[in-house]
Amino acid sequence: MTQRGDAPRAQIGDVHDDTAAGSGVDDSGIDPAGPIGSLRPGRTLTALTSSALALPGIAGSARADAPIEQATGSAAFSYYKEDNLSPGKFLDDGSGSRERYEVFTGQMRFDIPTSERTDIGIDLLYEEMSGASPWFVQSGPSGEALQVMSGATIEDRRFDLQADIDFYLEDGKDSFRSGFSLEQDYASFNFGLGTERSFADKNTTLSFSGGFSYDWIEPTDADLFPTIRPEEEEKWSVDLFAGLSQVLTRASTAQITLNYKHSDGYLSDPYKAIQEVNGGSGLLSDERPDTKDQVSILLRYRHHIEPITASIHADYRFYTDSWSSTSHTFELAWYQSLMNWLTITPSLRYYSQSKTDFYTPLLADGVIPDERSSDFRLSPYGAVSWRIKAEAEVEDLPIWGGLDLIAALSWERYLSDGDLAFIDVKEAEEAPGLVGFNIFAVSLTGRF
Amino acid sequence: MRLERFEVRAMGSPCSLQLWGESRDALRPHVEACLREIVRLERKYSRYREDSLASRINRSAGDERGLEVDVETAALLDFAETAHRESGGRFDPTSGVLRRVWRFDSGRLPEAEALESARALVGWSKLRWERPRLVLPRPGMELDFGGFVKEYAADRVAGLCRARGLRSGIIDLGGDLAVVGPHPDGRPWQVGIRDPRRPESAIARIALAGGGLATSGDYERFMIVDGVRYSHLLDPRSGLSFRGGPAAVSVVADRCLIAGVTSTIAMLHSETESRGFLQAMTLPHLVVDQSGALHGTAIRAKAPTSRTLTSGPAAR
Repeated sequence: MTQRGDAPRAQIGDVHDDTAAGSGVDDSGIDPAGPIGSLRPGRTLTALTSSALALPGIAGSARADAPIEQATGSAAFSYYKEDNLSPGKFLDDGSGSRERYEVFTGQMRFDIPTSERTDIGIDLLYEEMSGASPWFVQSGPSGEALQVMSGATIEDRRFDLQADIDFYLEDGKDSFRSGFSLEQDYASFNFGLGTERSFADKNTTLSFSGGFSYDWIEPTDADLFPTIRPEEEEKWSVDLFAGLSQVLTRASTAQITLNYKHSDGYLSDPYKAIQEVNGGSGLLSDERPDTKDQVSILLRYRHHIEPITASIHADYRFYTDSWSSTSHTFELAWYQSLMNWLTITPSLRYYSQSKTDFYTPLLADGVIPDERSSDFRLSPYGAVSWRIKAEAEVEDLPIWGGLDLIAALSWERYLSDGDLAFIDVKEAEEAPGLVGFNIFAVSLTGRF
Repeated sequence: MRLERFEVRAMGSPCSLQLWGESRDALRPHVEACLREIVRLERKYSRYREDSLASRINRSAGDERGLEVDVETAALLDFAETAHRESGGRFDPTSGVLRRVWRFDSGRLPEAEALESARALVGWSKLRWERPRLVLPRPGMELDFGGFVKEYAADRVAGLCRARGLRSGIIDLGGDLAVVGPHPDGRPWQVGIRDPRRPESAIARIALAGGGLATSGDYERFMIVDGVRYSHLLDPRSGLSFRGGPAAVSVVADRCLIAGVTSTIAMLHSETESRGFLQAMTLPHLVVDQSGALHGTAIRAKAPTSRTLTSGPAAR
């Protein structure tokens, strides 16, 4: 099972995963960048359309929503590396490792028009993860909380296949998606349905989708740690999504989306443990409630600044769940296009979350609640990250009958700390295992 | 249900109506209504017909009182004004005067003096459009609806078919296409795009489920004077033959009229700027550059398989 805390997964096609800087719990899998990304109103087009529609007899229904895309194929590689814990934050007794997570990811995506009204998308992902992850917290010689890392370096591989099919209609599209993910100790299967409709001359787009996923886990080394790791567990979840995009002016659009997710089953983390301040009862298992409801609201605003061929993207996301954690995310990105073939995008994100009610780094001596976790992802903290991305497009290379290539390169830096949160994070509550990381990603897309 | 094809020559071009219906006979009244509409628009807006409104407008040039136009013409003038403004003057229905001095069949360049006096009559800003009154203040000024009335007619005819209850069909007025509706099974129409260098063959294929498609191209119409190649494409802003643009541009839009104006404007950009302009317009498009290479968002297919429509003004 992937141990990454809040690692945003590199996505083909510049989807800056909104769940990323969250607590790693909202994995609804819905791409909120979808609908609004395709709505870039040309000022001129709007002007021509409104005056054409004033003409008698041609205002009736007629749409140009045919999927006339070329087949595209993309490959992306990314390297994710967490910073090593600083001395004083982790227990250096020689048993654990300071080397935190490192992930190599390779992804491929194909979009193939299968008939004039349908296309199929296939996503393949393969990743190799290695490194130690935070296991439990122990109190140090002077009472400070020290992170204990997993003893052995974890090595795992993940293979993920997702397929989606889109059916284009006069005023929107319907889609079906399904996929699975496999790891040595983990398997997951999902499917979902979605629909999208445009109104008022495409100025308004409504979308809805729903999904189901079933996950199964068989933790490694359960025989070594019979008291803290279950042999086999499962969970399921359903999620619902509703979105509304609205073209506001010739150059700006706004979007609001609502997400709801219900999960049921084993929602704990078998690779985390917790103990009392004095360690009296030994290592105790991570125990979370077996249901969880999550709600998030996302607001997006896009503004195109025509004279300098730039766009500003501003997003805000509010999240809350039945484990009493809430979070706020703010993100600002500037898309600058240069010379018609290069786009440079700097972006900045701020994130702040309050703790889950059963989170504590260490339990009080002799008080062992039924629900408990020392997982840093459930702790109160704030995070900042910044990213710079460059994307270049070359059209019509003289191979395969004129290939268009899009190459992208990006670097992201992420830092998290209790002091960065909105709220006041008490010393005793701050997780020593809070993470910082770098992501380097490169992708290549070909259109045939 | 059968797919029936009706062919006719109108607006100076070969036109076709492909419609799905019970039988050819059942479709005939609809086709006749469509033809009446095409003929009505041709009579109203052709500058070659003495009795057309266009000719009356042009005869009014120099008369400060101008003339009052009907609602349909007013809407077309509003559209032309918007297109002129949005295109930075590249789309200009007053530019027809330039053809009087650029005589491509003569193989000679216009005299500087004649060109200057023609240029003095070109420019949307030189006319006064105060709905419903149109004034062409200078004698000799001309308004030419030819650059967009065929596209408008295609949209009108497609709308008329829908109003008469037809669901599936496509209207082709000399390469300007408007969809009535997709095939009965929902499949879009397959439209071949003419190769500007070999006008009898298709260079690409575009699937069209709705809306309209129009193509503008230079189709190798040019003259060579003193070793310099002058394209038939005249730039209203300079009065000169435009150089450096793409060979052909096809655009898909909600309306054929929008597609037509957009492709016209795109032709008056350099090859690179043209592609940037079309991308910013966010309309599906296909650009054929002077070397014959294709750019844009349309399917890069071999020649279309079945008997399909072609878009491109080669037959004009």
